[in-house]
Amino acid sequence: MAFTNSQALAGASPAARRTARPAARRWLVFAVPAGLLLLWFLATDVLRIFLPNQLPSPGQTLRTAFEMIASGDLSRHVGASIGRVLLGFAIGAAIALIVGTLVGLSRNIEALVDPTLQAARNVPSLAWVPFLLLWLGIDEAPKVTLIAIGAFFPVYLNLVSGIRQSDRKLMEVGYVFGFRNIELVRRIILPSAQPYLLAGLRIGFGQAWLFLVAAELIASTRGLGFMLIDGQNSARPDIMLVSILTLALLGKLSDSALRFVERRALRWADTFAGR
Amino acid sequence: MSSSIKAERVTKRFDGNVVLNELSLEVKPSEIVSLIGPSGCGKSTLLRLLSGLEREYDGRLLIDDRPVTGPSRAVGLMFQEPRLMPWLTVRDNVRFGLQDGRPPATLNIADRVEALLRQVQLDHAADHLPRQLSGGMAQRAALARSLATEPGVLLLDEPFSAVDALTRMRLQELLLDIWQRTQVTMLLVTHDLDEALYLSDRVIVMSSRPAVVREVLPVRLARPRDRRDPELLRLRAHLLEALDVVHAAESVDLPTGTPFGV
Repeated sequence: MAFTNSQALAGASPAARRTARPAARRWLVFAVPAGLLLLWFLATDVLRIFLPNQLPSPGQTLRTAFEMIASGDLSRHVGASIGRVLLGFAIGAAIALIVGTLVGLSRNIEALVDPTLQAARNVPSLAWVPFLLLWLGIDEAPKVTLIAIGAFFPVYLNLVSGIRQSDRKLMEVGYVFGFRNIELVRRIILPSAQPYLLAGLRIGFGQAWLFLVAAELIASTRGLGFMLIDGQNSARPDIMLVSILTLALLGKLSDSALRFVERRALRWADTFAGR
Repeated sequence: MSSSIKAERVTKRFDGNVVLNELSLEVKPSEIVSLIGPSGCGKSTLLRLLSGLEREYDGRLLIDDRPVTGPSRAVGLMFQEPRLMPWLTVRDNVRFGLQDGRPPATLNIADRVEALLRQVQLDHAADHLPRQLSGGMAQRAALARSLATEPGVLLLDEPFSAVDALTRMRLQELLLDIWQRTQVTMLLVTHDLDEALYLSDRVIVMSSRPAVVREVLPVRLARPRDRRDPELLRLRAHLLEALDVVHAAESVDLPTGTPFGV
């Protein structure tokens, strides 16, 4: 009786196939940003469709960015915003992890809290602001809380769906070994909810950035949202643009980082990776 | 480590439907017994009851003369599908039930896992993920996992029905190899008559719902058996008859012992 090694080759390393990105596609990634940059340049410097006080040129924006980097202003604002986003996201995601697990596991807890959460989810971010300011003052607390609210919902919703789709057949394997509640959750339910959870964390992190700006629009002296308002108040669209572009860049970078984590964590998934 | 299995007048209902009706059977330690019968006749239900996955039944189910009250690490169960955790490597799947200082705590877990991997000839694939395995490899990993807790009883629910014929025969050899080493008692549900006859001491034929034992056919041949043994072919013809696949009148004058005798 012998099992030949050729059997081991069934499905040779799809992981390698998945991570390889054809050289041509690497350039495709830059096509749209480069096109937009060109349009921006044409609309301002060349065709002058927009006046500089409506839309500053790429060159002017870049100069402002360098000035703000040199003066340390930009890093001060970025640092403040990153700190708030990370703290708010961590709090929101941690609470979502606990509440989402409980709701996912228990229909009773779901009946108890889910309808309320679904209603709260539809409250626009800015609508929270006045009350958070009333209750928590104008310091860091209301800003971090607002970001936590923003990060909470995507993580919560995805985790609940992830838990609800875990395979009953895999659960039975745990039952046979005598696993009980916590062990089933830790060793079968949460791992099988991982793809959903990671998608939720990514969306939640994006939401954290969105809620950050809402938080910083009001009563702040630092941060990218403050830069936006400051630029508006001092009629400096170039500062506003630097703020928006920095937000977009940070959002993209953090999403790429989470995607990297996601891909590594989900190497086991036998899924369609796109063509 | 081989246990006995005893079912005494076991009745199981699902929503009022009787699935098992006063079923009684007995498997002695180290015996291999196969259950065959029409689809949906309750064979799998019996295994699920014995493994503790289904509860609430009338009658008595005993393993080593102790009533079955729920899942036990002394009872291994292998499913029709491998049911490996897709996020764990083969090695971690094999050790899946072996943690937290639970019995058997006598052995070094890492050594035990490596020994199991060698036993099912998956040591070269220990770091593979389930999606990289062929069907036969996945079932071997599942077999190693169900043996990890050193059960005295191994319940097998059509374990090889999803693999090709050649792989199935190799898996049957592997199962016998494991049986020879561990003497684990096996209760096997299968639709494959050749598999039942090749492996078992006795083949139990069950009727359709509600399931009752229709016939118990002993196979008095030493293992390992020759798959071409005329006695096996004779018994096979008999089983086909018992399952109403061929009518008695048709099969009577067929020469026994030829491969086309059915």
